[in-house]
Amino acid sequence: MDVLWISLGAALAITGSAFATAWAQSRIGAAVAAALAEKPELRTTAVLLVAIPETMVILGFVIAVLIVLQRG
Amino acid sequence: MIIPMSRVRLIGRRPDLPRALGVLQDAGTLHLSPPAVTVARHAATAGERRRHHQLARALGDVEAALTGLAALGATVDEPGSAPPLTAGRAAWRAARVRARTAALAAARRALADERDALAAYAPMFAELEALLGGGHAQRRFTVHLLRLHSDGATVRRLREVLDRVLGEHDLRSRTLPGGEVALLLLAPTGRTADVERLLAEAHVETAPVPLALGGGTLLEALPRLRPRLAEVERALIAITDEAVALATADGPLLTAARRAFHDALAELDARTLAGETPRAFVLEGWAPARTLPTLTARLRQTLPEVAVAEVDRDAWHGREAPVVLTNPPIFEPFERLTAMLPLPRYGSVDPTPFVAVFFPMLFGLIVGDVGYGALLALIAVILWRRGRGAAHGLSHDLARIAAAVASYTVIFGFLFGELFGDLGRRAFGLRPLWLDRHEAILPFLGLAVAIGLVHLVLGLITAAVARRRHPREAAGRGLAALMLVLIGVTLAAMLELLPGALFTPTLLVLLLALPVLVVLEGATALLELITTLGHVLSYARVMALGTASVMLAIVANRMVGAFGGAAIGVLFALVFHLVNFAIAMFSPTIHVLRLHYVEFFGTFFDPGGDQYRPFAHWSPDPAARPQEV
Repeated sequence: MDVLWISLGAALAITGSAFATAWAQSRIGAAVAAALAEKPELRTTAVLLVAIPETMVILGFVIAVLIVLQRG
Repeated sequence: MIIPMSRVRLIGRRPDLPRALGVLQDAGTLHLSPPAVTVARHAATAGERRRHHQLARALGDVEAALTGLAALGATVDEPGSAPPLTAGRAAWRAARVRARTAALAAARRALADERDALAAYAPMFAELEALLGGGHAQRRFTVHLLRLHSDGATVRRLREVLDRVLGEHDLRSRTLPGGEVALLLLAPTGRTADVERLLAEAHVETAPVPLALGGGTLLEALPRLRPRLAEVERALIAITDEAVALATADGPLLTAARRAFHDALAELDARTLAGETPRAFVLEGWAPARTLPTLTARLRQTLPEVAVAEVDRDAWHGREAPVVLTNPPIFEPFERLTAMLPLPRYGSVDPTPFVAVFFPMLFGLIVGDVGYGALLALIAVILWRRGRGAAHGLSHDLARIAAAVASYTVIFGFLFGELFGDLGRRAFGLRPLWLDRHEAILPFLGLAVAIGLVHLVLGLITAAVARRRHPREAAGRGLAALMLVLIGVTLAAMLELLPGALFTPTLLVLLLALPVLVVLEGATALLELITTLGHVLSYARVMALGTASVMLAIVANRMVGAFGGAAIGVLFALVFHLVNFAIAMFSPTIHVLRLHYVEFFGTFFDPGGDQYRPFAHWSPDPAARPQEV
């Protein structure tokens, strides 16, 4: 039973953060594409803005790893 | 680093202003700016405005004429000693060249289109010649040139129908460069009506004989194809020759005019930066400190009546000065990475050396694979060869960045014992010299966060040093750096990575330092400290990306043997390694840049510096225009 909850917890950690990242990137991506069409010089800012929400999924991954390692 | 600048002030008699500007333009080191002294700025006279307008228009004409020549492939040499043209004369000459180049370009386009059309027919005409030479009596057969937009199945069906209905005939097909299928049908002359009916039913289009061949039937046009193609080629060569002749005759004059007009416009623009009284002028600007003696000596020698003086350092604010970066050759390519952000302000810190050290290191830590590092080195060699001849070209700089990144990737690859994931371990007995990323996930996480802590402490110390003229701010940054270290030590003591005896004293010092930080930097300093701690945790991405990279490589290796035959498994493994390598090039680059731009630069970087643009003679090569001296 413990294994089930641990696996579920790890899966939730990565799934929730992945969905959150995906949602944020979809909104940012659309806005950034529109901004780049008018001001191509904003490309560096664009890359940064798109990369920023990836922190969520990366930290989600780290939490998931920590949860799984907790088992062993 | 940012080159130290000196502010220079020139004062002279008002009529000497154009001469003074001429000397400054020849020297090419002074970045002009409005004078700080309270005098009226030079107001352009009606004559100057008119001349500016004429020069700008003439320059536009000359640029357009040179662009027209370049479009025809005619290289225009820079002038040796071409006599200068007046604006009106240059505009007239440019208009003449533009008209001729436009006519030549139109003729070249038409000829090129005709050549392409004829070239598309040429293979079919060759087939036709073969057919006619194959014993078919021309009088008994009619030749049909057909064109299809469909695939081979339609051709097969057409062939079957023709076999059934016509009996004796010859049908040959060839796929044209555009994807269409051209068909050549030789059918008995008496069956022409049947052929036309069959083709209409099958929706097959009859290709017309190219108009350039003078119309008529296909057989009549056939002998004219090759001579016409040769004629078109000769006409194209003649156009290029005429363009080259035009460039030789008028090019040097036009390029001399372009240079002279750019210089004259720059000089007129520079006048508006001068301050004036009824009798005197004042010019101010910045020059790199090390060029100041040369500039001063030159001015004193050429214009002894103009007073030149360096403005006292305390009389100007650092934020006003323009910025030019200079770095040792080993760090120079990394200026391209810092150039993606605005220039740092004068008096702040150029982050290039930090990027040059930490970017390849963090990238190598993430990818950490001998095999991928070797592939990266290969890419570096290819880029280097492509960039040969342009010492500071993009390819050359990217090659040097790739070489640095490849070196760290190979080094960490040996430390982690990885060669295309665990292939090195399984095939060659490669063992990790330091850390097994496959197993030691938590230590790798600790390492990533520790590197983040060191990186950000370094940033805060850099900020403290950069703000040394403002003791309160410098002390605040220094204290924040110390507190970050203490937080790290406290957590390490709590997790028993360091002796537990350190926990209480470091916590006490932290509690004492907190109010001092608030006194030095205000209440927002607490928020900044918490944000910085969040930034330290952000370095966990190094572990996350690194672990993902090694896991993907291991999965790729496990494909061998998992898909039936070994050959298919190896193929899948290679494809998967290629995908992983592509991800390993893109993802770590973005994330390491982000760690620099957001987390690291956030501690000390002060953007908003003005690019140093010295008042100098124009050059057609942007790289040759003086940006750095």
